[in-house]
Amino acid sequence: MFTLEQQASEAGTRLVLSGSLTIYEVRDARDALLGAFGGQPSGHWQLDLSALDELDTAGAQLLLAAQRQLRLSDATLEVCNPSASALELLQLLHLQGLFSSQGPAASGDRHAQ
Amino acid sequence: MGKTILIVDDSQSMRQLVKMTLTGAGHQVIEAVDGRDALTKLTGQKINLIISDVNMPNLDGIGLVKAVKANPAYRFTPICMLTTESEQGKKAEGQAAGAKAWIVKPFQPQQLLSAVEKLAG
Amino acid sequence: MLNDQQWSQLLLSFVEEAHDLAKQAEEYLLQLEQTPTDEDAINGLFRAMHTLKGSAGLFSLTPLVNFTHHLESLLMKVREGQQALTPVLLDLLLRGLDEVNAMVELIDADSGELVVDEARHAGLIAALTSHDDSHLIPLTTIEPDTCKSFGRLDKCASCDQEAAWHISLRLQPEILGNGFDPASFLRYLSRLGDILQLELIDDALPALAEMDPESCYLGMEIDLCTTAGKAEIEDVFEFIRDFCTLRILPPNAALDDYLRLIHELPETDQKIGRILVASGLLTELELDQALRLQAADAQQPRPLGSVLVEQGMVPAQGVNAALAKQQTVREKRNQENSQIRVAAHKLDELINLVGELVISAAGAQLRAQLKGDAACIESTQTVNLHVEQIREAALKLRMIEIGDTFNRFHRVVRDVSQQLGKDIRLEIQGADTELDKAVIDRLADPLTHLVRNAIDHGIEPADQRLAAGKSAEGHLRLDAYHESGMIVIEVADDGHGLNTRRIREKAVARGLIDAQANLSDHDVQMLIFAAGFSTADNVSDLSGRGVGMDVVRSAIDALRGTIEIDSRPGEGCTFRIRLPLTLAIIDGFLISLGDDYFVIPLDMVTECLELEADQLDGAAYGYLDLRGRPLPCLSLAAHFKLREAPSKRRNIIVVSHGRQQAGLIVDHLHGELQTVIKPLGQLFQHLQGIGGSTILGSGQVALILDIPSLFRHLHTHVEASPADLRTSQPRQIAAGQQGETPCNSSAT
Repeated sequence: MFTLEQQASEAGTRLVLSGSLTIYEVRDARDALLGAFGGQPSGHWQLDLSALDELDTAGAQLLLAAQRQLRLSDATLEVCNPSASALELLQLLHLQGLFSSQGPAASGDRHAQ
Repeated sequence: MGKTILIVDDSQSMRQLVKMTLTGAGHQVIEAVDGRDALTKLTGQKINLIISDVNMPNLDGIGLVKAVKANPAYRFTPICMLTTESEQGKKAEGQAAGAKAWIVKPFQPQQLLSAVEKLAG
Repeated sequence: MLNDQQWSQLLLSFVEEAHDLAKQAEEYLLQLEQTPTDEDAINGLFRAMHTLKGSAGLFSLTPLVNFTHHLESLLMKVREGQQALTPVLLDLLLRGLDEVNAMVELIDADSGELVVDEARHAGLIAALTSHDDSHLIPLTTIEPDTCKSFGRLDKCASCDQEAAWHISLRLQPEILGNGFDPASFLRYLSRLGDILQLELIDDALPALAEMDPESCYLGMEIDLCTTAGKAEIEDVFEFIRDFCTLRILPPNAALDDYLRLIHELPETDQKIGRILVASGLLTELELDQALRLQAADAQQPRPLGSVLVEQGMVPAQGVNAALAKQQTVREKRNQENSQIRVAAHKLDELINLVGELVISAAGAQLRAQLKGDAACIESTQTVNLHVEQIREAALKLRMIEIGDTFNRFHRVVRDVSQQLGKDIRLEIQGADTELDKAVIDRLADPLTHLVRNAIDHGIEPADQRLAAGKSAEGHLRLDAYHESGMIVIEVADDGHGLNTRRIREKAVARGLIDAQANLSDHDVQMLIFAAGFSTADNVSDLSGRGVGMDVVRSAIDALRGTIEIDSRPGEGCTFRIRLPLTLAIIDGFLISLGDDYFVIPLDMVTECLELEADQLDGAAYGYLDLRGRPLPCLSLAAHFKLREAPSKRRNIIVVSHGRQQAGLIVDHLHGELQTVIKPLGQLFQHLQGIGGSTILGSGQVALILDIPSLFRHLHTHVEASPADLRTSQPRQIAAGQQGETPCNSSAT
């Protein structure tokens, strides 16, 4: 079960992801994220993973694609407060850069060569 | 972290061996005696891996794979087939149905544990 | 290589060892029951299991290896204080030892197989592993000794990129949909070692709106520090091989190891792919894949090596090393280093049988020719060809290098020269010359005689040497080489040579020659080989040689060999021994006198000439003119006092031995044949001029001529009556031992 809750914060827009983000949920999650981003997303977006029970490679790939999507319209994405299981997977894939809070866009370009 | 694994085999001793090996490694095991029985266990609970025999009464392994793949809640669950040398012909059929991981019986417990790690680790 | 018997012996000793280890371990355990903190006992216990695991691994007793591994890793935790030795654990360990004993009992002493009671076994393992949470690490990664920062993300301190494997992984879109989570494989991979670096390749990943979230767009470049080999790494990806492109490149450091491994592979002629697989640089799966790629390119077949490099399966250095290996193997195939020890009598049996085979094959060929069936003749010829090859191969089995025998003389020379206060250096040449083992064995004694004599009597004391303008250090040389189908062994010293005058005096004194006898220096020197020439009491009187020289002579004679002396006053003396390569079979040249057949060793035949009239006038010995030079001749019929056949045409066979040449007058020439030497019975041992006998394919007996002895005989006769010299001009019909017609007809 995947849910997405949108909160406004002083730094930009915060999306709280909860439940599971796995191969079973990625299709719905993609639609939810696209809906949240709207036509021309801008500014800084934070994905709060603190309530994410489960994350797999398909889910992580989705987060990367979301980052790409935002970059198309010069918006930035940052992953924050990962739950233990989300952190484990992101570290396994060496995607710590996604939730680096220093330099909002720095994370994206490391893998984009 | 322990996984929940469904083991489907009509041989009690084989189920026993697999169960002992898996529980010894800290996994939870659900047993089913054949394909039809296995489908009754797919009732919403999280299953990380299905380990299934090929040749079973009621619903055989291939039929089970097809049913699992058609079930939206379980269609991405990795399935590991246990087969004997003589059933190699079934392998192509099973792979076409969606079972991509195969272990040939007899196997070492270590082999089974490795497969669990690779598929659901 | 081990034979079955050695293997079962090893296995038996392992079983014994395993029981001992289990018993030791049990004693330690009981000790620990009293004092659970006894470190020595814990260490001993751990060591016992560790040893057992290691030995079991040697015999591929996987269940035992697995089981002892569990015991071992549990004990390791106890040793490191991470696990308390509770009564429950002690009990479990005792039960584990019982299981070890039971398993050892279950080992099949013949097949070496171990079938265990899987259910009970698994239960115990489960019980053991519940005490040990390191159990999920596969066997191959226990005690990773290159990386200490196991499982951590940052680069570890103890290793670097040089020591890391590089794994390049490209995932196919369907992989996720098929239920595979690449993360699981990564987690499993990280159990093999430390993932130093992981670069997620997401170039192909579209933006969120364009992507199919259930498809995979990722790839990975991974640096892995591990002690595992290529096949083990590949095995991690076994289930997803169909859903990814996988390249595994060895670390630079390991590449050197692989190259060394390739170099050290046993030298068998293998295909390049096999060499790479054997070294571990290429896996079976990759080889299959590369071979398929190679086959698919049927228009322009490329070498496998270039396919492998192009596909990134093997670095170019690896392919080059394998090619070099293949090359050296092909070159060195004949000088294979690995050896098998075989009882000499087995070889003798084989050679004996091959000998019989040679005869029966010749018999079959003879029958075929009599019958005139062309197909049959052709078959027997093929059979004979193979028999000949077998014969050669069988004889080679007996050939060993003379070097070992030569090397023994270092000690003899050192001891004897020290005894005599002389400074002598031994030089060895031709140590790799091969000789029949039987010959070498029987050569040791005569060689020892010659070497001792050279040191004792040949080489002067240092002061005499210096006075004679030589180096103070004497030189003794042992040499072996091939010369016209024979082996020549030389024992040479740089002493003062034989004293001909003294030998002559002594020979006269012993009544061996007449005081007035007109003998050349060489003939005088040969007298030292005469029986009764020397006795022990005058060893030191004699400045020449002579101690037991008759013994040397008879030993060499028994080997169908000859010995000659090359002595130069003041410069030194060389004893030259000529020996046949083997004792069992010779290439012969068949001739006949009337109805009697004789075989002459082919190596000694120089040419065949036709003799138009009996130019020796019925005499047994004489001279003929061979292209202007006198050729001593011997009429075999007269020499052996055979009934003269009324033959119109007779032939001369020119034979040579050493530097001597002579003609043998015979009736018919029959050509070459291979023949097995049958020793003469005791009764005929004294026969002069006959060295042995053989049985022809027709069943007839042929006598093998002992050319050296005939030469000696001829020598005494023609020397004594040089007036007998008759000259005539034989017509040359064939030159060289490989003469064509009529010499090359078959041996009938």
